[in-house]
Amino acid sequence: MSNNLNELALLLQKSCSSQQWQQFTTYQQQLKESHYALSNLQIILASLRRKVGSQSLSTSIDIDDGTVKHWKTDELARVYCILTTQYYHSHCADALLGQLYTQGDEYEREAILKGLWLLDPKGQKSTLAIDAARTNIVTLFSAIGQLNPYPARHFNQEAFNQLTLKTLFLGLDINCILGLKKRLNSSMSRMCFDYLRERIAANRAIPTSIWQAINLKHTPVAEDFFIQFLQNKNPQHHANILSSLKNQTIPATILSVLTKSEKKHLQAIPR
Amino acid sequence: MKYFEPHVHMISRTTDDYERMAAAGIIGVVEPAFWQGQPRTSAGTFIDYFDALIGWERFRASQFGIRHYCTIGLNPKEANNIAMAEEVIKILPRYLAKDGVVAVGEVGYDDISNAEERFFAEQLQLAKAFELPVLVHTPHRDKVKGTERTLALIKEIGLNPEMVVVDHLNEITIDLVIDTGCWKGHSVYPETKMSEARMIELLKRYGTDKMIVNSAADWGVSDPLKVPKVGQAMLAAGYDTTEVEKVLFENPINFFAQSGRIAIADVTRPLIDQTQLHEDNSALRGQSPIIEAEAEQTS
Ligand SMILES: [Zn+2]
Repeated sequence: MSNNLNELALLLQKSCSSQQWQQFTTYQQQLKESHYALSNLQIILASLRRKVGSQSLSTSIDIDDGTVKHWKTDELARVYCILTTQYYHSHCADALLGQLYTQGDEYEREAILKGLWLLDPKGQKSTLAIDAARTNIVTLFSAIGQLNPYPARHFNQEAFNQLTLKTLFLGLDINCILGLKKRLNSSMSRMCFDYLRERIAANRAIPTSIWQAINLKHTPVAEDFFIQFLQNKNPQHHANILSSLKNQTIPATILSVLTKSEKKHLQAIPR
Repeated sequence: MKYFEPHVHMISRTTDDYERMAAAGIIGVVEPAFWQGQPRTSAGTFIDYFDALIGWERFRASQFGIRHYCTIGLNPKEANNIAMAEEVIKILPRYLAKDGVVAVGEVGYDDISNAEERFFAEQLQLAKAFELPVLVHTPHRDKVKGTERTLALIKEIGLNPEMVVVDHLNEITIDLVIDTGCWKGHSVYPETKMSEARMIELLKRYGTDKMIVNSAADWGVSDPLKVPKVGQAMLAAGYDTTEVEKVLFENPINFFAQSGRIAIADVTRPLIDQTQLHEDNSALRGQSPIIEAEAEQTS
């Protein structure tokens, strides 16, 4: 853990101005030395955005089979402060995350969700995360649902499927759900197919990534839609369907509408 | 023309209002914490209310291209339940540290009771400790006495008057505030309080410095478009656009800017920019954009 902390601190330092970094280290000193008090930590966390700014990180780093990327400096600073508190005051670490999350504003909550795979590596706070994924605040939802390793690691199947469907529903890209391919299951496939049917029936725009969550093995009735959207040549639908087919056994009807190079790409040339 | 609405209770307004406000040129609002209209049954309801002000309502406003800030405080009407008020005072500090909170408020007198005075004073101390400005509500009844006691208390606590806006002023009470250094707030209502025409008269008589205008729209009969309407009235009365923007955009922002958490440069139309969060994907793809594209923005 302390190795991780060093790397994260370095990343933050590189992404901050020297004045911002100095303000941050003052807080750090307070957190290390002070007797633990939730209210102190909360006031520090709430003020961090004004101290270290909210700019993009200068680079990204890989830690614990995940990548710290697409975070802002305030988010990194907040996660870092909570990690150090967990580290130096381990006796109160248990209740800490829940309290900080519930009593944080949306920016603090987003930071906790983005860093949850580091803050809660064992998945003990999955209930909190699953509940967070019920929000209609798109930015908050994205913090847990997009480019975050936590859901694939710690959500149960029902919650993971809901997360996928809600991602489509909010107009977001399910390609950004990490571990989707591994977690694809028959009920997810069925739910997404039903959503696809509804959208088509209502004559509404179809999320172009939806194909990634439909497997013809589980939902053979989706075959006609695959063919229809392969033929209509919208490049985004096309690319997503091809990418989805890559992991599937492809029925002959679909093979017949693929070009030679597409078949080759899918390594699906019939013998 | 761009406008800033420094006192409006959006939680009790509909999305139609947000749409009309954005269309009329309002690009930022301050939502002061106020009372619920009926007695609260526990301090927990304050937590949910404050959380809505710093979370859900801010998001809701952003969906219509409006920046949302708030002030947090225990309203005088709700200060008279002493046991509950004591609990609320304890939870205030953690809110006063949050980013979107640009002042303590609305605080002040309503019935002008001892309990109101006690919690008003305690919150002025909190404002001092957190270096935040204060939005002071003046009572609807016994207004002159309420305003006098307000100004006396500010002096007694030793608060810098520059950090205070005294709100809901009228032709009589403004005279009490004019030489104190405090900012002067005016709520323009459809019927009671202030009208557009009376507001213009005040601007003519007292000038435009430190003058602030709001609608104070809430769940009662009120009009969240009063700020733009005063703008129109000012133009009709011969003020130029610079003067209109000074009173109806810059003044209120500059007052709240003393918190260090808002500045004129920050108050632009927000874009829900998902790509900013996740630069590798065009996140809101497939959904008709909620906010107009940057190119279509005015001002
Ligand atoms: Zn009010």
